[in-house]
Amino acid sequence: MKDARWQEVSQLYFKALELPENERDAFLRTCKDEELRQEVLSLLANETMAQSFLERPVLEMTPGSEMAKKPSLIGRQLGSYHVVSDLGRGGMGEVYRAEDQKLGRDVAIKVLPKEFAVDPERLVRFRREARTLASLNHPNIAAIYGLEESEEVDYLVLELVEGDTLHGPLPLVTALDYACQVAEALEAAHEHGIIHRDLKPANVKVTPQGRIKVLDFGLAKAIWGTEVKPDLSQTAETGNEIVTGHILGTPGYMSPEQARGGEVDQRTDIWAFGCLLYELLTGKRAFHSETVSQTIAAVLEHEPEWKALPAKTPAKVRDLLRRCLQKDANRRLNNIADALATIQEVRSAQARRTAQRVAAAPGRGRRPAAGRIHALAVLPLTNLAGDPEQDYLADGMTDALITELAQIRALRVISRTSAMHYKGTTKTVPEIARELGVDGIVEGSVMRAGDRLRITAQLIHAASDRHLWAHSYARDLRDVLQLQSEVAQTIADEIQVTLTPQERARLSRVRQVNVESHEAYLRGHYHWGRAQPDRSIENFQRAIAIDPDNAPAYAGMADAQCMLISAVLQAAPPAQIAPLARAAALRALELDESLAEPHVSLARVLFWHDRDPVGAERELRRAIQKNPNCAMAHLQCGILFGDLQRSNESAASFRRALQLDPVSCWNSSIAGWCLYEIGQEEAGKQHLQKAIELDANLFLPWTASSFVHCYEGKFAEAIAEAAEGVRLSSGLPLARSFAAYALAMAGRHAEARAIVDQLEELSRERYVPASARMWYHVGIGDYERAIEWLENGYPQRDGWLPHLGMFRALKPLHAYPRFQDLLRRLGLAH
Amino acid sequence: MPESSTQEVTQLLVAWRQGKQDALDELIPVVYEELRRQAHRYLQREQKGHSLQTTALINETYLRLLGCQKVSWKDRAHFFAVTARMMRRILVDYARSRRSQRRGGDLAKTTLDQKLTFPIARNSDLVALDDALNELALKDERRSRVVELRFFGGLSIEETAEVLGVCPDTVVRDWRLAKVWLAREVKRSAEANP
Repeated sequence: MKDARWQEVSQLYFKALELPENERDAFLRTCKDEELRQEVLSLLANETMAQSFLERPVLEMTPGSEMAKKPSLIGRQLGSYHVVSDLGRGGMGEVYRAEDQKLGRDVAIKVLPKEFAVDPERLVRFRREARTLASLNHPNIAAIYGLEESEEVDYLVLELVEGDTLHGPLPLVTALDYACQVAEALEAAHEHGIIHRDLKPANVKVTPQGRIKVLDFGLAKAIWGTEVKPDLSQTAETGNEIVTGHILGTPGYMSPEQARGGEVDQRTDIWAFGCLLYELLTGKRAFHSETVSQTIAAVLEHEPEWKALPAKTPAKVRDLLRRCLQKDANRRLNNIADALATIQEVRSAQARRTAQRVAAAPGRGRRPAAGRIHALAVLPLTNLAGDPEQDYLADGMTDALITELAQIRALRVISRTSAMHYKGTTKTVPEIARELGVDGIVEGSVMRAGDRLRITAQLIHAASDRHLWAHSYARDLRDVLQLQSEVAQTIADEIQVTLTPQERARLSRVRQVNVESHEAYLRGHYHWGRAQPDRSIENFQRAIAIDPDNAPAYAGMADAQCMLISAVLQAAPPAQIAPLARAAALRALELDESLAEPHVSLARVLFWHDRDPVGAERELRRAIQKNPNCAMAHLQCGILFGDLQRSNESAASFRRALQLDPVSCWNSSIAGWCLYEIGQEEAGKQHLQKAIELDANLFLPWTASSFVHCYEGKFAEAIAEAAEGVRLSSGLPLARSFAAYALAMAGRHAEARAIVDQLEELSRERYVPASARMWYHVGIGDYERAIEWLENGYPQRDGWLPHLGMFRALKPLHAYPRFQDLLRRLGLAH
Repeated sequence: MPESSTQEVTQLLVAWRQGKQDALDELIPVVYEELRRQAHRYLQREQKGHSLQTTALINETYLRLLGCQKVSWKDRAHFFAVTARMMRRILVDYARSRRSQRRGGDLAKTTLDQKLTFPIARNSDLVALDDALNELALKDERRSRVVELRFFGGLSIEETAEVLGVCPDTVVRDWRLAKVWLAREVKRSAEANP
């Protein structure tokens, strides 16, 4: 029972504590009850002394710490790790600081619960999950270096993060900076289909340099195997042993679906992100009550106290919080990237206001800091030669800058297709930045006179349209590569992103090019960008003929060859071209192992030709590791995961691809179509609509929309769109086959049949894949014949075959053992 | 250990859980006795530096008394609550006896084996703390339990929250206020009895 007087003391004491020290006296003077006032003053006087009082438990030992069977590991040697000190026993077991004597760095070692030692199956399962978690490579995520097993203990080796855990309230600017970095970490993880599940301030550290590190990504689930549950009694089935130091999640940060014990996805992290941002701004928990059960009730039923937000919290941030903290996951913000974009927008606006204030203040001539630029777009450099023939050079330089910058991990760089969209645009920099979701823009010009090259480049702070830096370079054409690196490095320094030593080394490499070969390469790339694989290949071949060591030319050739045999274009039989693409990709890597793109080409060859989805995934991961901003790798991941029915990962990959390449009609079409197929109908249709808006002259979004409308029974629309697709593609087999499908689905069999006959005709002139004939039979419901055509396509390595598993229209075929057998041979069976 | 004392312990525990505070008083001597025997065995085998294992020893003893090897999940909170309380009793009694011993009191009052050492520098503080904690419990039972679990039981904020069924934030606040209040009381007591 609480003493009433004591309660008054307690309340007044905490109110006083919230105030800055010098304001407390004044505040307490407002208390009329002299005795109460004196009591609180006396307690406050002891505040400093009390801080260290009782801080160490009487016996310095957690109860139940393995019942004396597991002594501390301090001073011990585990493999090449020398355990130095204790880092605490929170979270999921003991954590120590250790020296990695092999690599000469300090690491954190997290000892796994002893259940692992007695349950090999569990260890195997954990190992598998740890591998996925270890694949997360992001500056804002504390890395997993490895899982080691010794005779006594199993332990994880983790990145040691110095610094404090997060605490609110923070000034708005700091809170948004930290939130931004947390969002970036989540974005990177969600992209891999990894959900944190236990995001809270205690799991987020700030390094002394102000960098955020999110700890323990997905570990709760990986270690305990089940969802973290809020209620002690519900965990009875996890075993009847004392599980040392296992904290059962933190009720205040659980999403409603998590609290109910339901399925969770990335939206659970978005909820927790909302809680975190709220706490950073207010210093209070969004959902908090005296008891666990009341807290859970608050999570499920109550709104956070919105009034607690500081008055100057921008409306956009308030709105974002409300969207993150929607109880119904379906109404909640779906994608952390949107949160990131909003916060960046607000931060840019704030920076602009600050800049204006600084500019307005006389005598303060110092240039305002660039602030952290997280995302950057390089706009097409202008060709100043006045000769359109020289366009390829400007485009090539743009491309090269994008590639150089994209390899910097701490930066999100918009890919070339989206950047090229703004060639000759009349839009303003802030408009473009908004469309692309970036906070920095690089623009400039290229001028060539004989063998001399002159480049100017400037970095613009997007929201304020303010120049942060500008420079002009004049060089010999042979030094073009070095020049590109120099510009990239200067930009990186200017926006204060942290380069890893490898990145710095790569950028300062001295390279020279053969001018003629490089020109041919740039021309090849130029045509590649216009989806003209034939002309692109010709130029790459010429580049290689002049300089057999031109690695980018080999990479470009592999890529163009893959485009040639892609499911959409299918211009040549894959069985012929794939081996050439593979050879070119391997040669490119042999010449320059830092390239990411050849891994994407290899992945496509492995999946389409070798029917090796596992190998393909491995190559795509390598590509992303080398260049995390490689939109093509993310797009291919989306397709591959969709084909393998790994929908969450697929959707995450598409999201990332579109973020890096937001205005590419091609990518939006493919992503939209696939998203629809994997069950995200609304998102899928939106992207298809956007694709048409981006480029109404490309056939792909029309054809894809037609297919999607067939699902919805809107045949009139479907037929019209399919016809548009045929017209725009000048009769590409793919477009025709889907026109036949739409007509067949609408019951107009004769017209559909006529198109199939045309395809037959066409096959005398060019390669027409067997799958193109299949769709008609699917449309009329003749599944036997459809499967026959698929079988015909099998030896030709027909480009549609790898994607059979994704199409819902092909569901009826799954009932046929022959089809199942085909899926198995394609490596697509579960 | 004789069967009878296992049963006795179980019954006393049930009684304590049902709110019979005296049950713990009856339990302590039983635990002491067992602890003394266990300690004797341990210390014969082990070298110096054993003091840190005392908690473990007490826990183990307690489990043995319960007649089981493991504590089930639903009893976990209860288990920590009991061990923290027991730890407090044992240590405070020990401190009291040391103090009276220093003042020429009767050594025979010490029920614990002398070899069982505790790493507590200032025993008198512990006695004053115990008195203050008793006083705090009258005003505010939960905050006194927070201190018991944190300081005597060595539980983290989160674990304490779990045992008490409250949020960690509540524990943080409770802990802060309880500490400042106790610190002042202990200081006052030291000033009064130098």
